[in-house]
Amino acid sequence: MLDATTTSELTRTLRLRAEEKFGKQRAAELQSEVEQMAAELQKLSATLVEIEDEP
Amino acid sequence: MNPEDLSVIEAAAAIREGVLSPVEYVNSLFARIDRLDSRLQAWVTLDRNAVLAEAARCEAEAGNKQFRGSLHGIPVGIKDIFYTKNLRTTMGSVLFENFVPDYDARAVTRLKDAGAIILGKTVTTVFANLDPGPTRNPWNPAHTPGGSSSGSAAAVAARMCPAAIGSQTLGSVGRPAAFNGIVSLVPTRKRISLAGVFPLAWSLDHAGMFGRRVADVEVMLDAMSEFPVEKPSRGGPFRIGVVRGFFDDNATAEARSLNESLADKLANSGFVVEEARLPGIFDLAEPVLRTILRSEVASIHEQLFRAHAASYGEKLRALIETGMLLDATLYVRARRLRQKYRTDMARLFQKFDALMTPAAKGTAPAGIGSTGDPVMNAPWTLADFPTMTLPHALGSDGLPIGAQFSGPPLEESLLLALAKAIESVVGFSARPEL
Repeated sequence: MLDATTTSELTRTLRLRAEEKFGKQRAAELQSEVEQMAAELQKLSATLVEIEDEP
Repeated sequence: MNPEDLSVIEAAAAIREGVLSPVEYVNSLFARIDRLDSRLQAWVTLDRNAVLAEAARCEAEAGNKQFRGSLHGIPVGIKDIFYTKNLRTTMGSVLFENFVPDYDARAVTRLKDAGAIILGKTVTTVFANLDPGPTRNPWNPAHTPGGSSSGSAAAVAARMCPAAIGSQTLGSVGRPAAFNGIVSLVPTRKRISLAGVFPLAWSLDHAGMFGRRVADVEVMLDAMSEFPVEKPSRGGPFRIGVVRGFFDDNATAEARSLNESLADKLANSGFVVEEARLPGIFDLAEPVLRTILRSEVASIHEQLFRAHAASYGEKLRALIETGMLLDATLYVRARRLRQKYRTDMARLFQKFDALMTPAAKGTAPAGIGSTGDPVMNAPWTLADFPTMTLPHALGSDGLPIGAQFSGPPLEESLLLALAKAIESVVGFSARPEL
């Protein structure tokens, strides 16, 4: 679960996942994408949603 | 009369009046394609015999005053992610290089029902993402035409066809229209069915159209829309909200300056022009959109990618792989926030009929290794606002600059009426020298 609260924690978690799925070399190649995604996810995670906010 | 110079409206009228032969029309376009396309590479597949047979049928019907619809005898380019029955559809990928669908996309069926002739399939970037195809910009072939609807935009600008259709997930219609100096419309998503269109991201994908006049995209919309386009509900001077901030920050100085000049011109021409301030939720647009995009792209390509990863370009591959790292709860959170975003952004239309920004960061970048940046278009795609690009100036490099106008959801008639009024003020008539 990506419940880390900081971008660096998210980056670390995503990097580990990438290594498990794609191997260390590919995960290293994806590092800049992972960092961008972590920043995006941190913003989403930090935003309050109400129970009425349906998808 | 040079048939290739005719707009859709002009050509349709000429066919009805019996002064333009549909067969001669397609032959003149084929001659133009033969002359230009080895350099511009806008087309993937052309079935000349089938097109000529269809043109002959249209001509015979016209001779008997039988017209199938508003697009009778009009040749239209189709982006190569829309399925076309018995006509190869490649998605821009080697994985589909020999794929021939046995049915038409719903949007293609509607065009045919309106009498259009499917001229051919136009180049798409690979799976409609950012890995570019071979198409070049007709204004300067050393520059990109944009994408992913690269071939459709280039073909219309180069007068190889009067109209074409494309798709937009972030900015794949509005940006190529700007780069090619033509008009585009991306309607509210539910207007045009995406059945039979290879998806990039289901909830973000929109169908769109290109023409050289606002009236041309209007008649295309009427033909393709799943339900009637209502007439505008209000009259009076049009109210335009100029959105700066994020859009100014991402535009070149030239694009910013030309956009402001256009705003001033419109203000002096009877439009009510004021600044529109974006609500705070706009800051979430990019993370929301990219989370949805990654997840849905990964889901769509999951099986194909697993079997054929080596056939994927780097940009799409990275999008798929990062999408595979996401939790479902974050995807759903993004979808929930998207709904809030749509609602909050739509409140801007309490004060304005349309929002105005540059349609791209600037003119088309040099090189064809990239199709440019959809940063100007993506926020409106996420909001599902109908959006148009209108060409209005040439940059210092001789390439066109487009302005982008977004309207309230499902109020395409209001947006089109506003766009026609702007078009008559701007009077853009430049064309690529070909």
